Amino acid sequence: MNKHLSVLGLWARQTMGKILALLAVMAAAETALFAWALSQGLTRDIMDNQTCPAPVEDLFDFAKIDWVYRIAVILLFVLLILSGTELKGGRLGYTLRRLRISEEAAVLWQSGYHMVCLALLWAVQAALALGFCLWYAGTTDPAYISDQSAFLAFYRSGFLHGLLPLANVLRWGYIMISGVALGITSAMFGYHQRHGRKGIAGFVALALTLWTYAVPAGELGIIGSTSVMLAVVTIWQLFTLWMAWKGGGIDEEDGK
Amino acid sequence: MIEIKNLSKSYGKKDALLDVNLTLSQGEIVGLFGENGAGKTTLLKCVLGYLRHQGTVTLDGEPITRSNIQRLSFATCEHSFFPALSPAGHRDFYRMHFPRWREKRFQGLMDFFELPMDRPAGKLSTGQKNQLEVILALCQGADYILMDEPFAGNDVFNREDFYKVLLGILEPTETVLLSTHLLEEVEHFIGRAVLLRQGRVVGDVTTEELEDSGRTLMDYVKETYRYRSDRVRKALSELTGEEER
Repeated sequence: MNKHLSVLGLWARQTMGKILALLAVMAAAETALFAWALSQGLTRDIMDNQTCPAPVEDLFDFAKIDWVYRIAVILLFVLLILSGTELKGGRLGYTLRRLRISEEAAVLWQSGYHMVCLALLWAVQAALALGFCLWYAGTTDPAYISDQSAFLAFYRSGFLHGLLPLANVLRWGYIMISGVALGITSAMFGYHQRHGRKGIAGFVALALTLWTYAVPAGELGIIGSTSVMLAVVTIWQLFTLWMAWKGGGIDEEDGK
Repeated sequence: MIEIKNLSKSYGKKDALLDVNLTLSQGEIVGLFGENGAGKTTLLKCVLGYLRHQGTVTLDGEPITRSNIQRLSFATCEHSFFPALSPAGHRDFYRMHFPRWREKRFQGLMDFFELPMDRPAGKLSTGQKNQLEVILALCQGADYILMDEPFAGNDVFNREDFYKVLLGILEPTETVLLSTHLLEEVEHFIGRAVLLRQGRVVGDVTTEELEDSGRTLMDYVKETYRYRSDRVRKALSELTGEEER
């Protein structure tokens, strides 16, 4: 088991510092943007030319928190795929093919690590979103908010609902599928690159995931069809890996 | 013993290796020479199983697979380490995967070449990267150490130090197959020279045989390649003649 854990440690040692820095920068940027949005005193028109404080989801939109999150997802994805490639020089594949576990097993461990990193990013973003809701509640006139304000915001905002879908089981399933798909396809990108092939599946999965982050709560068709596409891409990648493992993992360098 | 039988490899229509037959006995230090594109790197990669090929490569009669690949290590000028991992990180990781990891040798070589233990390998200078690459290959406890131009980018003093250290630390059971262009530098370090040309083995001689015949390695290479020493003089006189006109 130690030989497997050491491979997991190998991937973590290479990227963990950078990932923690990315999370810190994302948190700082979102906090600054949300503070700025709060300071603008945004309002919403209600009947008879009267206004009330804008609900919390308007502040998320105004501060473009969803775009910061999207950028963070892209940067995390790039960080993760680069750790397994030979694009920055060196031929780490030569060593990966001589370990006590197969290169394909190392890719599976890398996939698992990538899923943990993506889950960490999601958890930090969810915690930030909840924290911002509490911050909003503490600074807004109590006459305009209730215990349900945050709950309603997580249904009304496509971004917040995509982050914490509450009782929407299909959406929770989608979060899991997209995490697994991104984890596996990002690890497979490096595997393909090391063997002289192009691993575009990762970018397909990333584009699909980013596209559906802010889909409104009721759009079950989009979420369902995207889930199927992500599942197909992931199964195809796993099948490729399995075939390579069966074939002994011999290099296909001829194309390099 | 590594036995290479009828090994052929082609990249598309281009033949990189043609019917190569070679045997490497344990304890030998073999130089692998040839011009650019002669097939040196391809041969090493085929031995390691990194490339599909025709013919067979066996290690003590067994094909080289995941079960015995650890008896071979590889140092390449392309560098096979993990750029984001420090030498200390490599040591910790390699210990887990190469059970015959040579800790004392690693520490000694790191100290000798004054390599920083905690700087990411990717941030070392080219010379230091080469040193780390060779150190890692030497410390994996492999019986057969394959090296592909491992000192490209190192200065002459550094290379000389390395040859001396290598000769001093290698155990009688360790075999080195060293691919390089630096004929004269390795002449006194190797015990046997194998010459490749256009994918074929065109020469295979021990340094003892060379000494007995009173030839240097360079003489042998020139003779085998049918090197025409008057070629440069002729070309120069023709060029000079053209310019005068």
